[in-house]
Amino acid sequence: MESTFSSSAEAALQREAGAAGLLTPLADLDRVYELQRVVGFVRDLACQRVALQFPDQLLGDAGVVAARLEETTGSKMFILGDTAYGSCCVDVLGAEQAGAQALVHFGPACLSPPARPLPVAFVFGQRPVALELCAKAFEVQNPDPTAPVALLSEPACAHALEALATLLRPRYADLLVASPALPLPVGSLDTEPEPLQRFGRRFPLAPGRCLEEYDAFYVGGSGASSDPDLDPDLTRLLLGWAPERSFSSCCPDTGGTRDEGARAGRLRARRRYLVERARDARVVGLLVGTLGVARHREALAHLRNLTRAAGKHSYVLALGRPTPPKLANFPEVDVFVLLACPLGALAPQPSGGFFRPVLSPCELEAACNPAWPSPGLAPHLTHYADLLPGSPFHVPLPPPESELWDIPDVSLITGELRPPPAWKPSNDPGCSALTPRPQLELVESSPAASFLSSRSWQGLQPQLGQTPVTGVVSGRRGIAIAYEDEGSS
Amino acid sequence: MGKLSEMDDDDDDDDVGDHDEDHPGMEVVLHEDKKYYPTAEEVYGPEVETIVQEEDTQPLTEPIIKPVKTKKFTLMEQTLPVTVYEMDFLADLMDNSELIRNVTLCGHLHHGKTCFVDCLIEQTHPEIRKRYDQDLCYTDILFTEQERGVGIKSTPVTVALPDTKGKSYLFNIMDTPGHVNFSDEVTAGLRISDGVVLFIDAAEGVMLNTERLIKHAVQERLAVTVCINKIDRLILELKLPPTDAYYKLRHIVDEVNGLISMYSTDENLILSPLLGNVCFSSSQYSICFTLGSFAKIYADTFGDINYQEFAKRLWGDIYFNPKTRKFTKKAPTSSSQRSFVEFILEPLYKILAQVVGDVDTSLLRTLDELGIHLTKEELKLNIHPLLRLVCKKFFGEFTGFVDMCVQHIPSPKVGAKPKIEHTYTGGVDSDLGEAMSDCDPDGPLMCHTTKMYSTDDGVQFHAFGRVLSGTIHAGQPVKVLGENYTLEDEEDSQICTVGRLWISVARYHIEVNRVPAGNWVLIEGVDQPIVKTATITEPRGNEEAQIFRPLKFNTTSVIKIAVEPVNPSELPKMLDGLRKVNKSYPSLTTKVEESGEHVILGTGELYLDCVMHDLRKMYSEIDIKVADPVVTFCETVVETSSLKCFAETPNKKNKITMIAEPLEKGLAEDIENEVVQITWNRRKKLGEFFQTKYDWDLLAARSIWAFGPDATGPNILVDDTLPSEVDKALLGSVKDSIVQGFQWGTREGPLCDELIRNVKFKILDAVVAQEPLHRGGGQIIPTARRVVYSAFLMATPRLMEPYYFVEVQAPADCVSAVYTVLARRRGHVTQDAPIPGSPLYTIKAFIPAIDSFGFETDLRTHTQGQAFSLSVFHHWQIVPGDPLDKSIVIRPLEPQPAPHLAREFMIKTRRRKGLSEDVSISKFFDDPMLLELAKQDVVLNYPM
Repeated sequence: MESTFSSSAEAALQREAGAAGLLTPLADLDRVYELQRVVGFVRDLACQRVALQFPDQLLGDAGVVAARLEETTGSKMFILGDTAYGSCCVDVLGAEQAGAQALVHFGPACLSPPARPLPVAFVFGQRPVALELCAKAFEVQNPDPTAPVALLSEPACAHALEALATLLRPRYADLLVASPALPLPVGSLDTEPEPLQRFGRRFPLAPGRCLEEYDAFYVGGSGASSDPDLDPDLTRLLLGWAPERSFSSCCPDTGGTRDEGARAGRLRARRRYLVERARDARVVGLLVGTLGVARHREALAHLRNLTRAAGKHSYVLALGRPTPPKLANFPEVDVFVLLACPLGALAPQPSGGFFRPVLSPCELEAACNPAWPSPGLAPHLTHYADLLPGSPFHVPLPPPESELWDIPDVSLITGELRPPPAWKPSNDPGCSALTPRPQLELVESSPAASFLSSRSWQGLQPQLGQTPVTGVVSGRRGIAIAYEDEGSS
Repeated sequence: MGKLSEMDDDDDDDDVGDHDEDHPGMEVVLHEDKKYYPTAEEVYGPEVETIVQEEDTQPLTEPIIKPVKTKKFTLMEQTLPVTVYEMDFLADLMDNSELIRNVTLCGHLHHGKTCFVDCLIEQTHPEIRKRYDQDLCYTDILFTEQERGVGIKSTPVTVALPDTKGKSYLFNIMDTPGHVNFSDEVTAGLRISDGVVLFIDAAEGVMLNTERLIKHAVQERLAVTVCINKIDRLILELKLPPTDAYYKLRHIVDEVNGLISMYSTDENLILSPLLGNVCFSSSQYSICFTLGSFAKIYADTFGDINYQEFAKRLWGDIYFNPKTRKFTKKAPTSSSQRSFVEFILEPLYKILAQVVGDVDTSLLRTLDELGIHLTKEELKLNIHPLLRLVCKKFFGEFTGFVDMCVQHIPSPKVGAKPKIEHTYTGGVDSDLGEAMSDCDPDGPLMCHTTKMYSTDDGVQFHAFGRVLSGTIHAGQPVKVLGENYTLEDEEDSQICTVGRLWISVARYHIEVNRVPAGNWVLIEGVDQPIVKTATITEPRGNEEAQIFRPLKFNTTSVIKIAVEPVNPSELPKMLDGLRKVNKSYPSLTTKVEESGEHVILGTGELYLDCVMHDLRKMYSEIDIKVADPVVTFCETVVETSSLKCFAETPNKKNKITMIAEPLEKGLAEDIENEVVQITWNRRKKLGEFFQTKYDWDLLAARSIWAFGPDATGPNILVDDTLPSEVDKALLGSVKDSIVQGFQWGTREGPLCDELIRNVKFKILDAVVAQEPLHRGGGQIIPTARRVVYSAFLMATPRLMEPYYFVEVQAPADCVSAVYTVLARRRGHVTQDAPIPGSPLYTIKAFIPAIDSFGFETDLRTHTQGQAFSLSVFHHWQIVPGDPLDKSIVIRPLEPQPAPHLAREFMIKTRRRKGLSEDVSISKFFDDPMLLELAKQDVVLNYPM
């Protein structure tokens, strides 16, 4: 059955998923997919069933890789493709369905901790890095040998970062080398003082130092300039890096550098616009963009609480990957907030654009929490976990009697006054006792109902009193994939 | 000892606290407890703050003791000045609404409005005198206004003035800026006035802003009176013979009447000195008279003349026959002069000539004849002050002006009804409406504020407005209704407490505790919820109160600058500053664009310069970066779509077909000016309008679905489907979605995300799914937008840019230079004519706003400062060239030839907004649509 919400099953089956053939020559397979390491990982764990997760663009190689691995390790391999949300997250649910005891993730990854512990190996692929060129570029960018600089890279170039640092160390005293925040081997005791973990990377900071003092030098990306759609990984670094520090990127092939400061400024400005939109919004759609990343339920509850406190209505929508037609089905929603892993939330929006903007949780926090530092001073947090209690960046909502709630301000988009929220967040939302109202007024109806009443066409006629009265019958039971009365055929 | 130490404890506790009880001086004191020096507090006393710091923690550039900085941006009196009337008398006058006149003084730049107010101030304030060689400019209270010598803000002045009979009236006078960039300030003043006095320079005549203001005042349904100012220029500067001076004055009056009849539907509205609604003045020499007040001087001197009858014979082709002592229509002799020349101009010429001519010999005698006595000191004055003194003594106070206003501008009580009908959104027939029409001081409180004045230090704002009914009291709780308040959506309202109340007299405020209906008032404490205008009413018991319409300006803000703090962490300060300038300037728009840029939209360069000064100095003391100014663009089409454009929804169940075509000329402006409104009854009023005014057929006129992107947007969506082909009921069920898609599309056009303008979209055909599930908004809205875009792109899209109307005044030898400068900036001259009776020329021209930056400076350079220009937004015009022509190469740092401009503007706008360099057209076309294109062999020069 074909409907608004899903395309027809047949079409989906017949559609060709990506390029079918091999993408990588057979000879390179070992090197590109680091099969040696994967084999070691599988053998160490000695698991029988292993899931291999590929992003869509690498699915072509999946078959061959799986066959090779099966051959060498003897374990059963399952290929997970077409991930429900972003292919950067580890698909724990998929692996669970396959009954796999371990998972190997190929391609770019957001490295956000999964909701359930599962041994995972990450294979980023290895992009060759011209070390000399990069080192030279670094020296041009950073003439002062004492300046603190952090070396960053895209995941595929991470392997070369330590080598680059070794080349530079003789001249530069204060280098900080980031490494991907791979999950620690299970059972390994972290005796070391935990290194700072941000942007899906670990920074081995010396005690007393902070990341905000470091300039950044990023190895990765392409030298081509006119590329409006940024890689989400770079986007999150640009957004999150301290705005007053310089940020330069270097192409690993050519060593061509560019100053990303202007681009970062533009990105931040665009995000600030989205915050303004969120402030203007009355109805917020919370899109569930992940089911596999840790603490997503907590984050969802937090965002709902936040919108309620700010006097906005919220709907929680689980739609899979958001597309313009899907979101346009909710015309009463003013902004959407995508609760997803950092990379998923920043992924370039599909062409055509959305009818209403799609924000990241941090922007909603900035819009709704009056205690949040003002723009320019607040850090841009790309991972929703940073907003939750327990994180150093968490800012609790001010108490309801705080005067922060009462500051009226002017919308920068419409130029109109934004009234303070009509009602204060109450401490006991569950309380249903009758309370006297100061004035006789109508109870606020739901925004969906008021929106419906403003439409000229309101759907089916209820035909009250014209339909014969019938008894209640019990409906179907079970889940949609197979109702109980349908049998198992 | 114990007792002693206790006693000591009371006055000095740190000294004695450490002492042991028994042997003072003998105990072992640890090194760290030892005290070698007295503490800072002991030395300097408790009220001196002492700070001990490491060396070099404070940079050398920062002074150790900073001077206390007080921010001050306005000139204010320290104490209440002395006035010729008691303040109590002024307050009593406020209670009698029939003795009040609310008047706006407006006119072209430098036509003497502020100077005129100075004269009124000098007449009522014995201690305020203008300095020897400097204008007083009492109403230019900002330092910037003084420095620039041009009014920036409208300034209210309240004074009691006597008319010719000696009866006092309370005058609330709004002195407005004359520069066209600040027309919005005039609008704010007009809203709370019952009439205007239009100032016209006798030598320059009707100028660009004079004409615009006449139109504006007529549209706002205000009484219009004229003051022809600077008549001394005709005599002393142009040295016209009296007869020519008369012709010149009559020419001005005729010109004004011509303009009024053009804009007004009321045919009785005529200005003439005979009617008493034209007065003559020279504010520099303190001259002001009407025919009546001049006749009164004759009556006072010669007695037993009916001066009112005499005044009726002092203008027009009427001659005095000295033999018969009668007035005749025909000249009795060939040399006799018109009565105006004979009785008014010639005496005036004589006085001026005598004073300027020979002070020493004959002046004293002449003055004696006139009954004017000067001291020896006064006779030694220079010519200018002497002339001023003589005229002041001869003409006395400006009773003629008062007469004119009293007779021709309604009192707030009389003027209330038309004012309410014009500005109030609610019904006039309700009890509240009646109370306002009666200007009832005991009715429910209704106050309309139209301007916000910042305090001296720029920290707070006071709201300024007019009480329309009821009485506002200091300290009273009130409800402030914002511009978005409606009875249905009450969100934009807030309860505030009124602080103090003042009557504002430019540089000082008179504090009052209550202000009854009909008066102007400056209110403290309600500024927070007000953005531009507001309606202030009772906190409860007046639930049916609705708001007064927001201001409708006669200019459009088309110049755009993007601002950004130099230091990113100072962004909050800048935002706060932006909010404040937004309050301070009535028509300013500040917003953040989708690219995240903070954009300020203003009417012109001077306007934005003042805004930036306030933003940088007054409201947020930070460094701000400003991008090069740009203008807003619009996107439009010039032809009908070359084929029907269609698109299918993602589920392939619905298909919409549309074409785009240009709107009829003038229709876009009619929609924007709300001449036609979408909310009108579709069958009758709306259909009729389009049928009669724009020749639409009945069917099309009745099937207008929407204007876009909003109710006053200059685009139309028409349902042009046939009931025989399309199920109208089904189509009606997706109307909302299609309209939303249309409005989304027209808000951000496909070329560079700017507004679409002047385009009619016709729905030709629609296939709509039967099941409601298959025609949800999710399917229809994005598809409708796509069809809008494809239809737009197939109809020869073009960019539009704003054009300025420029008026240049220059001496004859500079005219050719003006032409050169204009030509270099794509401007063209429409008219070039000498100003009658003066050596100057007026050149009227059009110039694209984007090329107008620096035009004034450029013009002055090329004419050695002899040419003066003013420019104001006039219309939208298509930019030459095809914006989508990919064969055009834009080379950096080179001026582009005309056909390349559209593409240059488009690409640069896209770059600024962070869009991809070129429009990807294929995005908006379905595959079947592309096939159709190929089949029909449509020549598309756009690579897909």
